[in-house]
Amino acid sequence: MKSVLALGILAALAAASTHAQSVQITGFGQMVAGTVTDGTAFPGTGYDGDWDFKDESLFALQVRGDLNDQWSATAQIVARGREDFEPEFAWAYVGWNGGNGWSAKAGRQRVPFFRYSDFLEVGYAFPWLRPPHAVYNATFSNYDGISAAYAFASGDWFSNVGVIGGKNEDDLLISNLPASQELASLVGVYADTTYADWLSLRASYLRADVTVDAQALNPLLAALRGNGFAGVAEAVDFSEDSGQFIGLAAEVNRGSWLLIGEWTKTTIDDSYYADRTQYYVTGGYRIGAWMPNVTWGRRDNEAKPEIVGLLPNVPPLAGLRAATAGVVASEALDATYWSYGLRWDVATNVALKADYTLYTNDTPASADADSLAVGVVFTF
Amino acid sequence: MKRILTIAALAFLAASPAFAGKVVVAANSSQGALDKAGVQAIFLGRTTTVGGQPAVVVFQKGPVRAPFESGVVGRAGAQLASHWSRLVFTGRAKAPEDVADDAAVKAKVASTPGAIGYISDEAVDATVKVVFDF
Repeated sequence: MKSVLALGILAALAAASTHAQSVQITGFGQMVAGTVTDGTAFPGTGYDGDWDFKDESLFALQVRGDLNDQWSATAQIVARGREDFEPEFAWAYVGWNGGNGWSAKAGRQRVPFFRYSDFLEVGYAFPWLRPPHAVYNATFSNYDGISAAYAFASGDWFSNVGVIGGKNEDDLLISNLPASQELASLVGVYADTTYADWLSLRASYLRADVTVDAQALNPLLAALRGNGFAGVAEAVDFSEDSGQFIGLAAEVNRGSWLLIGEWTKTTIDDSYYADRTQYYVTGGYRIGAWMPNVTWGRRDNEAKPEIVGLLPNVPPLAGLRAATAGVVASEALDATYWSYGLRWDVATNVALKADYTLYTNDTPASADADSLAVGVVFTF
Repeated sequence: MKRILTIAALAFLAASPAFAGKVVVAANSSQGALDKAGVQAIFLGRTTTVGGQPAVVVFQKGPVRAPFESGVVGRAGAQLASHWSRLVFTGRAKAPEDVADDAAVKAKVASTPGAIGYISDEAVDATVKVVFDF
């Protein structure tokens, strides 16, 4: 149904474009082949030991219609190989450009978590084959709501500040079982600034009331409540619990050098969700049309064993304590990524990319993996 | 001394663009003269109005492109295209036009309110107004 709607809107806009000059159609995409070279699976991808040509491939069309000098309507429809190329709206909004730097949008937009959130899937816009998974691993990237932004120049500084508000409802998998999440009262603020076109700094803060209904979690929650420990169940589950996100980023793009660093912290109060501190640093050096780059990334997710301590340490509760401890411990993660990448701009709007990533997971009872992927990215 | 002068002269020659050109808007546009920073801001999508109208940025494929991109905008080729892809696919700016040559730039600029482009010196005529010289 969603895809029928998406195609219908595209067809209508395409038909309108033959009558009005104010409709613009642009697009981007990538075809990526990847495999796991050591291990059985690779985080953030669906790769296994065979070569896969679909998982990270995607194709997107953007249609923008100008309603008048100030108002426009934009739809960006992305068909991802991972979802069998089923088209889905990544953006769908009505935009207002008030002049003097003021703008606003209403509709489906990207959550402004990260430096590269806004162009998450536009491979042509970034140096890596994929944004570093150490940081770019949020389970969702869109929200439905409103945003307002103000852009201004001051000497050699060019800055943007913005606020957002809305909600996200998504289906996801937790421990390979279906779950549904709702982020209500999602609000955020971000600011980025560029100095003399070579130094960029960015900061973002978001918060939401997080509710997740996860099949994987329900048996434990039922057992806790059934044994009279509703308070412990509260400490484990996500029921309108306050979640916070802080993101900081810096980028230097000067001469032949590119340096990017991002640091993020994510917490959800009164839940078993680990306190996540995640970051990466990328260095790249441009040699003509070639940009070799290296990225080091870390995920340091601190589990909350203190939740287990809420249960009395008495023999009849040993099973319940063990089950709770298992769920809590499953949130711990101590992982390191080393990525070696290459981008080659073969023509304006077309680039070839390669990535080899070594993933080391030092969490107990977990596996390391290496992955190789190559692809072509383009815009039109 | 002489050698230093020669080196300085060579460096100057190497830095000078092989083509000189002009940034132009429609002859009847209310856009006044721009400085280099003003031209950069428009061609990097940061200023979104030209002469009080929504900006329509026009790039061209002719020989004046390279000196304009590297000498005035400060970003060229794939880096510039990558920069614009970030603006376009986030709705921060409308996609720029990319036309063939001087004549196509003049035709587009003369007929489109808010349009701004660049052409080589010898192509300047009464249909357009020069707002920056490079």
